[in-house]
Amino acid sequence: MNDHVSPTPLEDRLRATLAAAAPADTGVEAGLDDLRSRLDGVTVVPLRRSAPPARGPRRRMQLTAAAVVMALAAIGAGLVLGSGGGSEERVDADRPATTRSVSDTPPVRPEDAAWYLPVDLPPGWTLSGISVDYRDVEGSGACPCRTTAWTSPDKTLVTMVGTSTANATFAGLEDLAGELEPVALGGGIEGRIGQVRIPGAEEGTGAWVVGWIEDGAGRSINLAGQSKDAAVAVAKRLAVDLDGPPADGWTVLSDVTRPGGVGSFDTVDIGFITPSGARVGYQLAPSGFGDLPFGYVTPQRHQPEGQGQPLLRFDFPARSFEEQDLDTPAVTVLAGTWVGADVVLGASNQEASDVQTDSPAFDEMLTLAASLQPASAEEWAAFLDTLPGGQASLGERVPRTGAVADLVRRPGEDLGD
Amino acid sequence: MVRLATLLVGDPAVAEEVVQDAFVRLHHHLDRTERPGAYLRTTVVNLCRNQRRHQAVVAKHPPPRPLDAPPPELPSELSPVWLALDTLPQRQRQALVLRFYLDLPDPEIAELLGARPGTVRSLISRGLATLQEVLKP
Repeated sequence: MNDHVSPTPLEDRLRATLAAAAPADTGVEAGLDDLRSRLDGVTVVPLRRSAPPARGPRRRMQLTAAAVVMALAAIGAGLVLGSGGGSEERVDADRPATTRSVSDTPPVRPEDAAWYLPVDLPPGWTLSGISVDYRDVEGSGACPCRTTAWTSPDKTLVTMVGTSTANATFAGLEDLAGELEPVALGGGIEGRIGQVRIPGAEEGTGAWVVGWIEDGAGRSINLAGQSKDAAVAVAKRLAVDLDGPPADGWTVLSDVTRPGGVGSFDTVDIGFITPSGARVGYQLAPSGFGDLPFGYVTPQRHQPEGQGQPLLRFDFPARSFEEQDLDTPAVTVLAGTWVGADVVLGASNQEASDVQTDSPAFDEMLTLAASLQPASAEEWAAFLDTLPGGQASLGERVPRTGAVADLVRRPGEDLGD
Repeated sequence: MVRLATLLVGDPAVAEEVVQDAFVRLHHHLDRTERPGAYLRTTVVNLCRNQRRHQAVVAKHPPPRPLDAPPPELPSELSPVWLALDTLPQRQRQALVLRFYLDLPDPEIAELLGARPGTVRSLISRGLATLQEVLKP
């Protein structure tokens, strides 16, 4: 396993130290119980904001929030919304009717959509934390790169990835499918095709991948549940017209371009504890860098009432990975490419790492999705200022100004080790 | 997985959050990986590296932090080793944890750290040399 025939005394000591230091019980559950006990009898007042007025002069948003209590818990700097002045509800005189339909939501202007914040969450929601995740961009030289997803009337999904360079096109497909066969796509374009077994799915469930290189750029498509001939037909059509559709009657589900020249970026996660005790949160990423989980599951368009921007709902089935002795239950993820940011919503509960679609937490995730509305940089800063200790209470990397779009860095601007 | 994360970031509470986050990310990529266990481990290692970066930045500008985790209770002969481990650059620490806690071979450590096997051997060698120096009586 390693290069040493027999370990040195230091190595023995190091091994013993790590074994002894690895926790048997993290104590996190005890911390969560402590947090819950502190919430007993604490009235949680949701964030309330005045809704945006009709489009016209730049609107002025007023963010009102109840008094906030810093929760001291082993889970980290939890933030609890508590009743500050005795009143359970603060009403902004300018606030319109609480029910808002999509048609009432004014179009989002890019300059207004620096961030997204929840509006009018019902009572019982607790802000659990705001954190930032540093992400390296692998193969940044291949971008700008474009991912397009289409769906057919019978819900077949095809995704196409187009990169600016072709270096890793076939190597990437070989990683997925193993050996590739050559296939002629017409117009002098020679592609390669391979078959992929969908991980964790029933035996015999597969997908076809086809790749080709055109004018020095790489293209690849992924088509699940169809024949090899169908995959070749799709590839031939897209080789002629990259804008698609791959066949008559198909419609675009998503069309995202990731810009080039980015070496790393940050995502911001805003998490809540829901009335049912689940963890529900959303992640904001710079446009083109969101974790949109396109694979072999065909998403559905999902438009909750009051949410003016598009979402896709991915319903992943339960999976069983025999070799790894790993079972994952069914889980739903919501994702969308919105003005100014990509957004992904997910949930987990205390017992499992994911939330099944018939659980209360699933409905709570839909509630959060409906509530997210565009917020300016000033509104984001004002939101952070309402927290106990203000912005100083947050981690250094949580952005205080600017926009989600600013969370990208060029190569060489990384933090470094 | 929580134990691994704890050894990498040094804080059990943060480790729990990291692992939970890794599970949620796993679902985003289930359709694209044949080895979800390996993907999970890689995700945990990467998220821990991000956490250490964050901790390094916070250390330069330290706000009051009431939530610093106390060091684990260890026998007296092991405690200095744990403290010395915390002084290492994070990649050396990661390499040592993956070798001496998980007993992973060089190629697998290399894959997790995004390095070459030769670099892994160098990280481990330098890490042990630093520990040796720090632990000198």
